[in-house]
Amino acid sequence: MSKLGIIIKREYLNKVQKKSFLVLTILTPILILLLGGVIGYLSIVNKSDQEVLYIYDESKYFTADDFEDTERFDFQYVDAMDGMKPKEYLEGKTAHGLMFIPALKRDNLNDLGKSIRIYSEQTPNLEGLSYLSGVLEKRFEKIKMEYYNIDTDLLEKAEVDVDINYVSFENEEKDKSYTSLRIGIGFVLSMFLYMFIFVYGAQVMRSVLEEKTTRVIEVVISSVQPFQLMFGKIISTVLVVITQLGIWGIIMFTVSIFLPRPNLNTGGIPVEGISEDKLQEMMNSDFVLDIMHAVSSVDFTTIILTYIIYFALGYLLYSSLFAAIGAASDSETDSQQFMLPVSLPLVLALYVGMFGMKDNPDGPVGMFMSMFPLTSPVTMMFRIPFGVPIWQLALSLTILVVTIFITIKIAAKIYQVGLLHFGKKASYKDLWKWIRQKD
Amino acid sequence: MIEVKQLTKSYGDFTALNNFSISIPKGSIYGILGPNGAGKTTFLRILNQILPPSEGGIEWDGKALARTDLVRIGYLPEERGLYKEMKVDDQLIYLAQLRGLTAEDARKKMNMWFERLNVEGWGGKKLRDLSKGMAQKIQFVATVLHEPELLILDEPFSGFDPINANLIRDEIIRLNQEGATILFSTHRMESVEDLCSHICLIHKSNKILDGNKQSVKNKFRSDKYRLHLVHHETITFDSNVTVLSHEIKENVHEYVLDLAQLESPFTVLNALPAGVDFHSFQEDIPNMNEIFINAVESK
Repeated sequence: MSKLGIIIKREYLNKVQKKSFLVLTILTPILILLLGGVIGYLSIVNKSDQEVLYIYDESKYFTADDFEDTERFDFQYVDAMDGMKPKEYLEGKTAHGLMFIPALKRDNLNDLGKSIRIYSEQTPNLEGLSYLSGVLEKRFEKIKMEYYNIDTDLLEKAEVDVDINYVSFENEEKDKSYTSLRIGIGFVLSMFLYMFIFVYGAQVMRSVLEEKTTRVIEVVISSVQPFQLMFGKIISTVLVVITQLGIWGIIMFTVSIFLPRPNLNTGGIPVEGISEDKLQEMMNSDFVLDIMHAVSSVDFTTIILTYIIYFALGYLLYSSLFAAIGAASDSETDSQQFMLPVSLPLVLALYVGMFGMKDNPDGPVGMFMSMFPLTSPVTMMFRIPFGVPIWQLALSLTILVVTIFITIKIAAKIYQVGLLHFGKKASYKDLWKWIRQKD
Repeated sequence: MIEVKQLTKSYGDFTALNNFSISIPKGSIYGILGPNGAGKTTFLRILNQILPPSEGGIEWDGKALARTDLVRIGYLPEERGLYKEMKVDDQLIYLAQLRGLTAEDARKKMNMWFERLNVEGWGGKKLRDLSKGMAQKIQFVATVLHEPELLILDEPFSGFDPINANLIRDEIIRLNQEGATILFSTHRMESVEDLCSHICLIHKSNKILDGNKQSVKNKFRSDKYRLHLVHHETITFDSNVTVLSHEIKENVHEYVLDLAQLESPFTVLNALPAGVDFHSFQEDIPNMNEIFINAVESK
């Protein structure tokens, strides 16, 4: 076995045999399942808790029938308050609160719309609020339309649904709509990449630090070149990632075998309360067809291929930076000062991708960040589901690869010098000196 | 034979090692002596190819030192340490593999060393569960497991407790008798005087002197002798003899004499009067500390 192979083997076994690895690998899916269960359970518990909300309507525009009870609220229409203040009225009653619709003044509905209050000691319930404002808005609109002599029935008939589809020239079959699905895919992909780069990049750093703090490093680099050691760490961590994903895959596969699931060929026997007819009906519904159409409209081959490439390159870039940080530090707290400039672009890429790019993924910001090597792996993941011109992909990858070569050279230099730099905290000035130091 | 030729290592303005040349004969026990910060560790790191020299080079048996030579070298750095979370046998085998041994060979040799150092049964323990003394023994095994032709030990006795230090000293001597060349550095000159066959004194990045220990010592002989006697009457020495000092400790007279003028030092003994109770007579050979101070001052 070559020295690199020996190093990879040790680093790999060392990480995989750690209790924390086993615990994390096995517990993570269980925790996710549990968390999902807990969230589901809690939302059920929360929903079943129906509360009374009194409605007092001074304007007399509404009737009790306007407010249909929701899962959350039991609306009780109050005819008269008998001069009581809302607080006095609610005293001794178990209720969420009281909605007060004042009488119309100066014939101004807009004013009225802004002066409706809910008196309550509890935290505002967003679901209920949006339901109520929806009911009120509809009613007020209708009143206004009647005032302006607009026939609401005609208006309803005149409504037309417009659904514009983007069609690319390469493949006219595939339209470019379903933005939210694409945003969703981009978000999941980049989040995953971001997390892996951080978690496993930090692992490379910790492994470097361990060798430094235990001082075993001098024994090791008297046998192998620091560069080999650094690469051994980076590659072994990739293998750990693959192992972890593999175990998760096996767990998911096993769980999916044992979980009961609807069978489409049960011949009319109801499955989980859904009959085959109903299922067929659902399958043919516009909604399901839409989703299937949307999923098939996304080019998954390209996404997966570019994802793997950017994942690998991004990890290589960041883990070599993390290795250099580990070598330049004496302890984990020591490493914080160098972590910031390295992790900032990554965080920025994620946040800009999540909040700043969804309206225009091809805009100047998206364009720049998908070229800048420290952000491009994450940013590209947001853009890929929308389709990226091939020349941009090529340019971005070229910049990334060139940067990786330069970075690894610099990182290896810092690594080599930093490994035997004990005691004194290294500054940026020191790093610069190390990089320029001749062999 | 290892020839170190005009080695210089500088970091910017600071010169850690300046034009340093020595030759280390095959089979010798070579001690590099000097105070802290003299450049000893820098030299050992260059020899281990951890650091590249700024100028100069090293030849081993006539050929320039190469990375392939590393499997012939065993290195115990001054900063000791092994993987804390790894089992003793795993890490010994790992380090030996990096030095070119196969896993099976490494295991065999490891078991032999465990027996020799009375540490059988430790293989399955993690290093963090061992005491400091135990860890030191393991560290030594890690250094010698691949049977290096050249053993480089940086401050080998610092950090070892006296019992382990003696054990290590015996093993060093035995490995040397089996043919290994031993090179070590220390700032505690007195601790290694009788161990080494060759020495080199180094001070402020510069070599002060080097060579066979005996010839170095001879160079610093000063014809001073120490004579111990018990007598009751006054003694007068020959006029050629200069008495440098005279002390009486518990009835024993100690004379330090300069006998440079005499043909043979024994004339002093022959001239002693009868009735004198003779205890001892020895040449006052300077120790390494004195030689070092002397050499630094005369530079």
